[in-house]
Amino acid sequence: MNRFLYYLILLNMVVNIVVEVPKILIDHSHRGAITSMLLALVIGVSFNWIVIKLFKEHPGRSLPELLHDYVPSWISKPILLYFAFTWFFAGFLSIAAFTFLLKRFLTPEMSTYIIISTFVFLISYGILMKTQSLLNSVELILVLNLPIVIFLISKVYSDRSMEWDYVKVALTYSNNPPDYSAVTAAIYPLLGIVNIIIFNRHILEKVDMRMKQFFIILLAGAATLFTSYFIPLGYIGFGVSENVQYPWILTSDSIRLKYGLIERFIFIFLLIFLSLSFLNTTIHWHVAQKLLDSFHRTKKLIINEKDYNPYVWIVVFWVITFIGIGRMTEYQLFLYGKYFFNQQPLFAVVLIGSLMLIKRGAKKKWKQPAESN
Amino acid sequence: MEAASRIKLVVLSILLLCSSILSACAFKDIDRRLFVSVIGIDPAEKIENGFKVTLKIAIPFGAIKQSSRPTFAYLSEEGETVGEAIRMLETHVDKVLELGHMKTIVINEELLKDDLEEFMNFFVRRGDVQMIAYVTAARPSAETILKVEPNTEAPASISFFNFFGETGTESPFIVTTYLFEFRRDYFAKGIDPVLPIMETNKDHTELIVNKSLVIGKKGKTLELDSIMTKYYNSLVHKASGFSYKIQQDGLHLLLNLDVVKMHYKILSEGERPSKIVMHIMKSGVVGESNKPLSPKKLSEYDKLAEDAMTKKVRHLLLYLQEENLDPFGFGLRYRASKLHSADPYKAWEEAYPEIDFDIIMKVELKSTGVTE
Repeated sequence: MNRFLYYLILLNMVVNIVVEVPKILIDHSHRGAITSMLLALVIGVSFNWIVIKLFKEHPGRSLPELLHDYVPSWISKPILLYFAFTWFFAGFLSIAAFTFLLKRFLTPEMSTYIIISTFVFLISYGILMKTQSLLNSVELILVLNLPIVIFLISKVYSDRSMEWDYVKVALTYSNNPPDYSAVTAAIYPLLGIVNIIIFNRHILEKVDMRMKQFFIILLAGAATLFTSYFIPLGYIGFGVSENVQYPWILTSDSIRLKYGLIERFIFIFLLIFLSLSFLNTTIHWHVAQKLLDSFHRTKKLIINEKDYNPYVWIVVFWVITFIGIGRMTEYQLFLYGKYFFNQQPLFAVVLIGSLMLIKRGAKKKWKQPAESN
Repeated sequence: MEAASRIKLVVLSILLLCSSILSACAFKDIDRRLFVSVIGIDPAEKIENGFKVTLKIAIPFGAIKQSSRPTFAYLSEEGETVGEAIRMLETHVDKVLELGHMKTIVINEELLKDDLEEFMNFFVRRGDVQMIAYVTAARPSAETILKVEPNTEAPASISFFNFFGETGTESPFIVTTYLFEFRRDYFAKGIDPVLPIMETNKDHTELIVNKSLVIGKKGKTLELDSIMTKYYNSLVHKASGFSYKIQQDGLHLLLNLDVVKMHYKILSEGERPSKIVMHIMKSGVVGESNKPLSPKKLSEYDKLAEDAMTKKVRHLLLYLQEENLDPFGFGLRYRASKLHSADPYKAWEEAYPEIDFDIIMKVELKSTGVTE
């Protein structure tokens, strides 16, 4: 498998250890969180498999191009719009989550709008990058950050105050039937592969998944979900954690770096996960912007051979983000997050369905390939 | 100049100009802040069911060399809740009260006998209070303890911070409990938190920490004396430097143990837990003796130490069992051993007052010290 695909998958896993996913899972700790995670692991990894197999047949082509070539536009337009919205919303949610986090723990006196603007402006720069450069920066940031993430996580595992008995108590709840919301929340970290719909154009080689890769992703996913759900319980306690808004933040605040430069672990932890979340949001919005570009673009905005279409979409993103997050409460954030996770089956059906349509279209030559790029 | 680059230049300069109207991240300078270092809570004298909050504030000064003693300011106020008292205290000073560096919470012993959820709520809900703050019980009152400025306190340091977490002194008599541990164990079923007790001497020049308090559910508390505190601490927190005194037949030994290992198993008879088998391994050297010792007889001394220490551990376990308190977390371990649908905790609650303890102690003395 191409290394960039690994990056996309891993990045999404690591980022989602922290905010909404563990909150939802811990809320379900008396209602089948463990069986849900197992189910989600199986579904999530097989979904990776299916998507990669379907894309394998179209090397070097992105989903919008394929839709344009093989599917009539009355079907492809709504699909593109739906995908664009999903990707935009994924990015929106992580910006919202980190805005609340920063406001709560790092800079309580700063205005929400200033926090959002720092996010949005930087991310916009990332959105406008070329897809290939974005992939390269993903590689760079991940290579720099992953060792630190591994250090942080291993510190959390090995700290003396970690009480494994609570984890074992949580395991005694493994005979509960899975819950829909918990399953969809647990699937979300495993879905990093879907960014392939745009990046496939620049990932030319080795888009394939064999048994070995299957097991690597399965293991990484299992480790992610285990860390995300069980480790906070060892610090916050089982049966006490349901009313905690940010289980992982409380967990990271419970660790003391006795000989560290900074005694409070939480600051290093927040900053590293913030940077990765930044990166993930950039990817989401880059994909959203590319999808919107193929949904609609006007020639009027091409001035002096420079295309200003992306800028229009970015301004739209800004406006929605500023108004949306400015008005949102923390409760709504978790509620919308839950809705977003709950609609994932629809997303999966649409994605696989459209890929099947493309397959059929390619076979029947429903429409001749218009341009070959 | 081309049109495009001119537009870029204009946009860039507008952005730069905008930055001058930003209020510098709304950040207040360090000289407009007061760093609360310790917070003390007592029962209120004037308000019924209220709290009296005392803050110990570190006052910064220019150069450490100028001052021979640390400088502190104290603020006290009563309120119906902790938050309310602090809110009023904000109007007593000209600067922002900053709780982000607050590292010790001192609670009056009497308050620990009541419902604790109220404090916990304040400290956990506020994002800026560290979860790694130390929690300690105070005797006779939090205010007295807070106002102690020990003679050994150096400028630009606070002795409250050095006592715990093996930052400064390391002694098996000192139990360290972080806020998150206290909260976790207080709310969880099957384990009871233990807090160190902070005392002071007559003329308020020393802080003394060598006892502890087990906080049970429903406001039940139990004091552990120094010896029991030491045993609890060495078994649960693996506190080393564990000096143990043995007296037998006129032989008087003080052992310095540096390795302590403990693990235990809960045995069941049918559906009912019946016995706790505890394996303890200790190893170290002889630190003091009133008679000359022979290295050949080390295994004899081992035996002596094993017998004496088994007795002490058993005493501690039975003492806790009698009061139905469980700071070791046996109940939690038992809960983890069966599926939740079998409701193991109920069985445990019934069985714990009558459970047997089996202590298997192994002491390995490596040497008689520098001299025989």
